[in-house]
Amino acid sequence: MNDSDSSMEEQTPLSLSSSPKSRSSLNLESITGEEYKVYNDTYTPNNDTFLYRYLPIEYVNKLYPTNVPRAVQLLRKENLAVPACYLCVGLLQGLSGPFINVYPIFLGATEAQQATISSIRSLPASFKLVFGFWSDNVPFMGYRRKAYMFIGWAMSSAAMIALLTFSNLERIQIDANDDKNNGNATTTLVPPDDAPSIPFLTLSLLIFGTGFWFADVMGDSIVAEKAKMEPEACRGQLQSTCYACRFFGVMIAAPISTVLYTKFGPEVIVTLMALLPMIMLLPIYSLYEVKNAPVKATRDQCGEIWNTVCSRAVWQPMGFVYIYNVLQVGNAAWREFLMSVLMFEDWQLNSLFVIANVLLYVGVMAYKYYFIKYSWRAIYVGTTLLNAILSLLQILLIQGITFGLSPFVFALGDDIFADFIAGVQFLVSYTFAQELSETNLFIISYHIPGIACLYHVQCTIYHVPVTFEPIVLTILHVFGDSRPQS
Amino acid sequence: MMVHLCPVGSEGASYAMFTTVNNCASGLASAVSTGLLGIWDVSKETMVSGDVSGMIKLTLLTTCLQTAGLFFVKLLPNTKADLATLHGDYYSGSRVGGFIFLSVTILSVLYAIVVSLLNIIAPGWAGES
Repeated sequence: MNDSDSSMEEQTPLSLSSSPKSRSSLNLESITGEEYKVYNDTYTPNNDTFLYRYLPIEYVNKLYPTNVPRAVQLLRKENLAVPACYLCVGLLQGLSGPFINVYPIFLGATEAQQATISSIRSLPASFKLVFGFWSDNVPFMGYRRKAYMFIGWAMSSAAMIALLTFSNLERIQIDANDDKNNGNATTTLVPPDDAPSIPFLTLSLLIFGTGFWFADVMGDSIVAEKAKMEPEACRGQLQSTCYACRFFGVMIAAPISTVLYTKFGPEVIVTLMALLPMIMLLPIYSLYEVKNAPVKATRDQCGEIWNTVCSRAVWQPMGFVYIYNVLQVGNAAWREFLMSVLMFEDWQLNSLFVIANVLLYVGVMAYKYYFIKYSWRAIYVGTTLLNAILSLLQILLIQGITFGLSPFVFALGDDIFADFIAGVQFLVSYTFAQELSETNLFIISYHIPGIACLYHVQCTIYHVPVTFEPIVLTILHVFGDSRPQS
Repeated sequence: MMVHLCPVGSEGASYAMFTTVNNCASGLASAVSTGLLGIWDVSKETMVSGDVSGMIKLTLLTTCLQTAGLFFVKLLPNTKADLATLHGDYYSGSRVGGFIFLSVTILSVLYAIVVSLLNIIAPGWAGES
């Protein structure tokens, strides 16, 4: 255990007004690396905040909790970039999904080109480890996180601005006679002559994705650093708040993106994808990070990571998580069945998608406030068995046995509970580490960064596919694609 | 909370490493899911014609696979005391365990990169038109 952690454990909210470390103000411009520890341990009575003059103190204290050090008060100007980064990631995930999956098809991309674009989108995510390792070891302009986060969002914004500037993203309406519609004129949307080429679109998405994942890794790293400053009683609040921002972003942006794309076309989506990262640059400018902080030797860092992964408390639970997630193989023909056999319409699939996002979040909250008292194994066993029962109910739906309910309502109930389960499972691993740290087994907890992935993972595994798949399949269906989709 | 567990000074790499592992697990599950489409006939035409036997079999198979995760649940510690026991276990500090873990991580990343690069350099290598 290092000194800073031990000193934090001794801090209590009751010491707020009397603590010698309490300060009413702090000049961040003059702070030095030596003073950083003091800053981390500084509790303030919030009378230095702008809102203190205009709001009752109880409201101010809600916004800036006084039971955590100033470094962890997320709404402080110098910390605002952290939750903003998570929110931006969620919003961009929600916004970009329909665009990236559907627009190439609109441009006439072949299956191979679609696979390429899909890979381009995911390729930068494969280098997250490199991004993290690089920022740990090579500060840029004296900063390990701030500068790279700035560069990441600037890259993403620039890529989308280039796409807007050098190509025409409009959709042209043309009237055509439709034999299937008794010869009546129908309106069809086609790309203009100066629409982006597939290679140019691909390059833009590659740069956007690289910047996006780079900034995302920096956000995670900052949270990992700041979370260590949380007092014992408040542990977990920082990260749960940040992930709540991300969840909220996806939940809001994904359905809005579908509507915007349908009504106004891809240009609006790309404009938003350019503006959001650009707006992020403002809070990043104000983000506080100690400049020229000492950096451990690369060899030492590698040694620490190696020692960490060699602990059985890391590789065994992580092995379970890996195997369990690999086994979560979905029925790739299910959506095709809903569309082709049960003749689900677009609004029905979109309804499933919107409710899925909401219920996922509800599941997370249900675990956080209720299921948290159950053992980790019990949660996994219970939710897995419940999932099996729900999956078997799908067979009844396939055979047309719905107990008098419409197929949509039956499928809706199935999806709702499936996503609720996913949400409940979401925080199991989170608690796994939380309880660990609450036992003061710091020797163990300190050496188990492996658990860190679990929270993040569930976001990726459960959230992102659930978010985008129905939209993609819906629009593919509109475009007349009849291939079985996964 | 999990972030409390990252080594000081190596937060970026350690957090990203475990995220990467799990992303790859999800990617592998997705690849398997697509591969299973070829076992039984679940084409649109077949299902629309009223033959959903393939769909039922596929649903059963994926349900079994998902439930099979229970066979490994004992790998997960039940309580914090279990976790402490694991850390102090004879096998804790095992280079073999660490090596396997890192190998899976690195191979998973390499697999994702190779597939991505093949899609970019040689479009259609997986049989797409």
